Amino acid sequence: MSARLSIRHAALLPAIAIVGATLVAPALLMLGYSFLRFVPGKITDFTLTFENYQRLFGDFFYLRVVLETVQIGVIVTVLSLLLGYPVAYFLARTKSRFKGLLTYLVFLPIMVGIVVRAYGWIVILGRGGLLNSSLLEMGLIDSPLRLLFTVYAVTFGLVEALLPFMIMPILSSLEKVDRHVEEAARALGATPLQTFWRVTFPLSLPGIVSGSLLVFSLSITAYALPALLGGAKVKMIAALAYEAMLVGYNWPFGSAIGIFMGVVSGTIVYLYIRSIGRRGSRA
Amino acid sequence: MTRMHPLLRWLGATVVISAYLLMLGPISVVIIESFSDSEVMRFPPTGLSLRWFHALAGNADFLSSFRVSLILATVASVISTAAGTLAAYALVRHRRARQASIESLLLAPLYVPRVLLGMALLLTLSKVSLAGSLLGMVLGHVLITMPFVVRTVTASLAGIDPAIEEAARSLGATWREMFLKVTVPMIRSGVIAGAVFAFIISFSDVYLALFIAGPATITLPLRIFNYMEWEQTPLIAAVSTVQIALILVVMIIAEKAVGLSGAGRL
Repeated sequence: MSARLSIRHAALLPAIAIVGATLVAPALLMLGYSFLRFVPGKITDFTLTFENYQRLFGDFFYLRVVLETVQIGVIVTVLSLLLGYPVAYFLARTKSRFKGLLTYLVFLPIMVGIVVRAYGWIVILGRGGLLNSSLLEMGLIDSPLRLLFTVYAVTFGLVEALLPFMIMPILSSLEKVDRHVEEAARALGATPLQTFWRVTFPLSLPGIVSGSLLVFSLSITAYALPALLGGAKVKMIAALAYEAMLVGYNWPFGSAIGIFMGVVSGTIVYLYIRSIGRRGSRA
Repeated sequence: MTRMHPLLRWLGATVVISAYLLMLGPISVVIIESFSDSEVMRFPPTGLSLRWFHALAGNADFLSSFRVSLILATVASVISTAAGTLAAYALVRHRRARQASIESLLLAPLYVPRVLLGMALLLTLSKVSLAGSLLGMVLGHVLITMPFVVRTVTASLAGIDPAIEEAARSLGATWREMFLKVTVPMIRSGVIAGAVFAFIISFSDVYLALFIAGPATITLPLRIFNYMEWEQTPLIAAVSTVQIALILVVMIIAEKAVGLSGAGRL
């Protein structure tokens, strides 16, 4: 019995040690750093202070970046929902033999990685890119438009990158909808559209909520894609953190931005997990 | 199939097709552009050639980064598969107090933005002089890939009757014999799926490398990232195509071997 007891704990140990050493301890360290004073030339000065947070919330420049980030996050979430819902609905209902492949194709972009896809956007939006050459060819424009390094490039890039995270939860909630409920509504005289709006759509709300929270949380913390497609023109909050950490070597201020992002995304993720939990208990 | 109004069906079809174009467009143009024969990025390409693949084969920077990424993804996925499988087993087979908190702790890396993981790891690894080292990168990549293993293995363990394991034990097998000879073969598909996802996630991640890579540990995605900030020749398309091909091959082999789609969706 005691051998078995030790095994049940021992099997968990490596995983817990890894998460403890590379997530929990670093997060605490970051929290600590965020209260330290920054002295240029020195990595840290061990004086406790709130000035990193005061700077973040007191300076109009940083507030504007935060607002712009939230704005992009909201737009990306809404667009992903508008595009993603029909895809999820199609995948949940189709009887095509390509259903498996089509579901797979939704996953594929995540697997390929963000940097490769960002380059794809450059090929599409760049000076000599697909869009500019098509417009020039059609005679709609005389010289290439500047499409890259705009807020639109960042927005479309993020929608493309995050769409799978919207589609998957909606798909899984649509697949749980009992078809008999829809048939009952039809049998009772509801039109297909009424059936959708009053039966199917409300039943898929949990998926919509979790997909939206996930996409919003991922878009407001994005760094690589905005950096590549937005350049210096579109600054999102993660770029501030990156610059503080690796350009200015101001680790205390970078940590304060990080803690702020962590609190915001942590709250969103908490709501997300609760929305999944409720869905689970209902089933 | 409930019949929708034709106009609605048409609208729906348009949105679905646009969404697929949006998701697959960037990858497709990268693959086409990699066969371009022109000096600068131009799409559609004026002619086709393999010159950029030749250029890639002679590019020491990209080759060394490819090696770094391959080593990193292999080592990280082996470690996270081992630790993640054991942890999933312990979680599923031995319900305990604080079960839910341990589970959320192990899945937490999925939900913490990668930027934050990168920053926090930079602070920590610098404290122990591991910033920039391969060991530091491996630790970070084990962290971000382990949750995928925990999930896929948990999913496949759920379908296995503990009585089979108990039978092995009562026939005199030690715990280790039972685990390696009875349990692991039964959850094989979950373990392999987890390992494949771990490999792919590690191979394609750029976030951690942005913060904790050193001059000798620049991964392939980070190298592409750095190049892209300065120039945008089809060389990047060629190296991206190699990355896409590698990931596709890994996924197809795994799909043929165990059926990733059946082994627990992510």
